[in-house]
Amino acid sequence: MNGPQSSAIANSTPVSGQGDLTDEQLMVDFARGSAEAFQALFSRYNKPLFGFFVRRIADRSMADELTQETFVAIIRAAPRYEVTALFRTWLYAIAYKVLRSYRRKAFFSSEFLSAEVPEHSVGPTIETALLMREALRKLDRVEREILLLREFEQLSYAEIASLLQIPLNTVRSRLFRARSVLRNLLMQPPARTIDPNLAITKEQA
Amino acid sequence: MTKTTTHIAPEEIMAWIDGELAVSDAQSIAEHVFECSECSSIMEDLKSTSGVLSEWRIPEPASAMDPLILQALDHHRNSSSSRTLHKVHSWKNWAFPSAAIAAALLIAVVGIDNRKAASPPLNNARIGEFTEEKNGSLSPAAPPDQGRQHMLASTSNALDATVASKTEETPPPGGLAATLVPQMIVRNSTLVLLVKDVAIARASVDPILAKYGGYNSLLDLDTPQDGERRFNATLRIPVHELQHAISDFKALGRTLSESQAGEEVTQKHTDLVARLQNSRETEQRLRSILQERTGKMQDVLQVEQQISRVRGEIESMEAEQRDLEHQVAFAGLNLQLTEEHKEQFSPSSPISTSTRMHNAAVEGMRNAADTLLSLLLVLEQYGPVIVVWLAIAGVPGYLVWRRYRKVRDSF
Repeated sequence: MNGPQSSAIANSTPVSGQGDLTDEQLMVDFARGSAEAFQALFSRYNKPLFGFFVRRIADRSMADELTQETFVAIIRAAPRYEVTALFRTWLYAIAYKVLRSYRRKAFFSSEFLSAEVPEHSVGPTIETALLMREALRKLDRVEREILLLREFEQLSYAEIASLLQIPLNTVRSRLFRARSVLRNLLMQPPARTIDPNLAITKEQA
Repeated sequence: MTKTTTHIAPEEIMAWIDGELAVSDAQSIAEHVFECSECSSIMEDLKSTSGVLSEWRIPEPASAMDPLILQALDHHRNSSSSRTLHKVHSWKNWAFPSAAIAAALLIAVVGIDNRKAASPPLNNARIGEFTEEKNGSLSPAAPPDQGRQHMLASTSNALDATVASKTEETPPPGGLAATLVPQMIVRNSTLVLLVKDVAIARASVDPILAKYGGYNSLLDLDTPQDGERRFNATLRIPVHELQHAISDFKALGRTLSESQAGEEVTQKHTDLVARLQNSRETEQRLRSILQERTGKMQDVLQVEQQISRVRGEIESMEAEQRDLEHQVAFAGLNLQLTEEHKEQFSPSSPISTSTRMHNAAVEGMRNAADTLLSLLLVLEQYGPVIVVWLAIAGVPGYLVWRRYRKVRDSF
């Protein structure tokens, strides 16, 4: 698998004795009380989960917070975990719920409490990231989500359909449409001038 | 093998790139795409889009675990360190609620039982009621007990002596000497027993009372047709014999509940004695005035009126003092005897089955009609108000709800 996830796994710190185990085996071990298994899962999915959030809400500190929140949710849900699907699917389903919850709270805070939504408080980034965000923002909400889940989280069509609760064929047709629209957007010159200060700022490692 | 002449649908090509097709389909599409320039171009476009996206780098996340995660991890480790522990935990899950439900049921049952005991009996056979007179003697219905009278007299004398000695020393009320006054406590107890036969147990009450010099001030026997018989008695027992008497009563059956309470009346008694002393002195001074001084007739009459008033007060206070001392000397015991009820097969109702069914049907129809009528009345009474409020709040509420739903579904 040549996606962001696989690279994250490859870069993650190996945990002695846990490297050969599958995610599902690790989760079962963790549900039985193995802290090392959780450490291994954390190492594998910390970056992918952070990527999941940071690509969607831009605010790095908030993305960090939601990543931690997702791991806490996993710990709490561990006693009820059953190997009926891929751990990865289960994980992103939880992350998606956390994200939706955050978005709802942020929306209602901004709508009714006049609170600032940190959605646009973009941290240090690079030109590519800005272009991506601009292009993705122009996509339909569901199409954007399908595209991100496929390209970055590497979920299958069936997994995406299950996560977003839409038919499988809809996933396929809308993913194709999203890719086509995105390609046109990315090939066009940018509609507005990008802030040079932001453009030259290097992303912090 | 024949070559595919028609183009592949772009969506199919995308699914092939994403590895979503079956092996056979994937193979045929691969053969076509590598030969068809148009389909190959679509494939390149799709791949280039993915390629551009893959250039999107993200910053490194915090590598260390948040304290919240560590805390949750600790909690998880403690709760599931072993299967046994998990089993115990799950056992606790149902054990504590079960215990709580059982306790609630027990309290409810005991509460209902007590309420039944306290409720007026259906078939009440009051077998005797005895009222105390103010001076401590009983009405003829209650056979006066010599031992009890002797006890009452001796206790009263002892208390009088105590009070007299105290008043001779004239300690100021509330002063240091007041703390040396012996405590006067009115004691009241309640004893609830479950007995085999109420009649036998009731017959044993009088001998116990006679033994300890007590008497009964109220007896009440409740004998319903289809329920347990109950016997309630309010007894007065010399305070120093109370515990012995309770022990004897407990032998009559199984104790369901027992409670004792005491009310300290020392201060009240001290005040009463002081007020009585003052009134007596006032009376004495008034009498001296009447005897030693002369004056107008109107003045003499006024003094006599004052003497009469003070005398009335003195008698009232003396009665109150005797009553208080009596309450201290004789503890109250509320004895409740409940019979173990054995359900018996009752013969069929004297009313025939058809009549009962007819009555039930009529009652049912009446209830239904009453319910419908009540509903109509409520609608008539509150309908206009509901319509007004719907008009005022309904439309804005619907708009807010629609907006909320739209927003909720958009995430």
